[in-house]
Amino acid sequence: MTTDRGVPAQLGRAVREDLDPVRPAASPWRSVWMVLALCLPVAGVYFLLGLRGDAERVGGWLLWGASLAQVALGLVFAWATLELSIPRVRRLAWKAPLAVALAVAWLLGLSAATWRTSPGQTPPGGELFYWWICFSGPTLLGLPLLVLLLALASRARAMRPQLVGASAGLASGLLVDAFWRTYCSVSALGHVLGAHVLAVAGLTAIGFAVGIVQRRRARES
Amino acid sequence: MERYQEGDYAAFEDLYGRFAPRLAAYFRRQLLLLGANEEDLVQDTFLQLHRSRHTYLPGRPVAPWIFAIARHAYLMDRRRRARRISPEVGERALERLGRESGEEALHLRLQLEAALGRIGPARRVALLLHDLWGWTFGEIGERLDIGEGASKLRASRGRADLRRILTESAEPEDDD
Repeated sequence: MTTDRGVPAQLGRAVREDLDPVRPAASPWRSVWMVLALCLPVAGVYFLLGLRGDAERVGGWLLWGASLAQVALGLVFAWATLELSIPRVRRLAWKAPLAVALAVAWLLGLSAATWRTSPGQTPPGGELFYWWICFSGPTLLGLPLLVLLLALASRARAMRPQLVGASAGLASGLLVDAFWRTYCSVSALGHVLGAHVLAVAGLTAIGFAVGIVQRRRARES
Repeated sequence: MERYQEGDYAAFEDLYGRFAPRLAAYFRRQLLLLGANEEDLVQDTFLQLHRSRHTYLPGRPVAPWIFAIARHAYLMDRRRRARRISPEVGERALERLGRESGEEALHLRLQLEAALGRIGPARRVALLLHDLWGWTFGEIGERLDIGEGASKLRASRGRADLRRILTESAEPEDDD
């Protein structure tokens, strides 16, 4: 049975019973400002930790300029996360791997440039300690950002929650690492890959896992 | 769409009138081999759309938003069906070809039937189980007593075969 305008009666009834006005979700760009606002207390933690010892040798452009550029890159990923959480037909086959490759290339390129300017090595015998600090520190500091991004994204209705989660993790990892590199003076590739990039990858993996859980829950409900 | 978000039922009716036929056609294409009811899916889509109406951003195109929800509804439905199906599914799916009506549907069905018939049985079953019935590769592997990787490979090769055969049949023949 349908109404005169074609809407099946059962569907029409269900819609009419719950027709309260809704406030449209905030646009992704507007939500990104909230992420940026949360970055400020995170950045405050680094001011407490202090500036890297070779800051002068690295130079203002490579230290602050590159970190600001990385913050911008992180915010673009945060925007992409929020954009992805909104239902829309998209073709992502090549864009997602390209975005990950871009992020990894940026992190490696930046550490190579820093290494050329100021080759900072881990002190002998301190490899494990430095690794632990530079892995757990950004991971822990990135978690609030990740939680915020996932919370903002959950207000929409992600069709691919695992992708949204991974993107949120990557965004928070990039943002936190942008600050962390102003603190850690070790630019050796092994340390950067094994600790800094691994922390970014860890946050990405956490976001991805949360997305999988969300997807399972959505399927069960 | 903005009026609908503000709680205007007439706007919902307009939306339904505009998109229900397009969604039905979309589902018909997707469900040709399944023989499922596209009307149910159209209703399911509009119910989901109603629950998610706050996620539409004013000023953006409506169609990509609606079709994303429709695709999601279709995939969820496919998975639900997959859980209810018996093992001889690949063969049954093939048997179902031939039940739809309409000239266009008939033409497409015949094309698909012919193409599927030209794919080897191992690849065909893996392809149908995954793409049509929504089984995971792990489930297919378990059922066929092969590894997950092997089932993925079979389905992927089956898909490539299907694409090649359909492309060949769609190409115009030379006049001479």
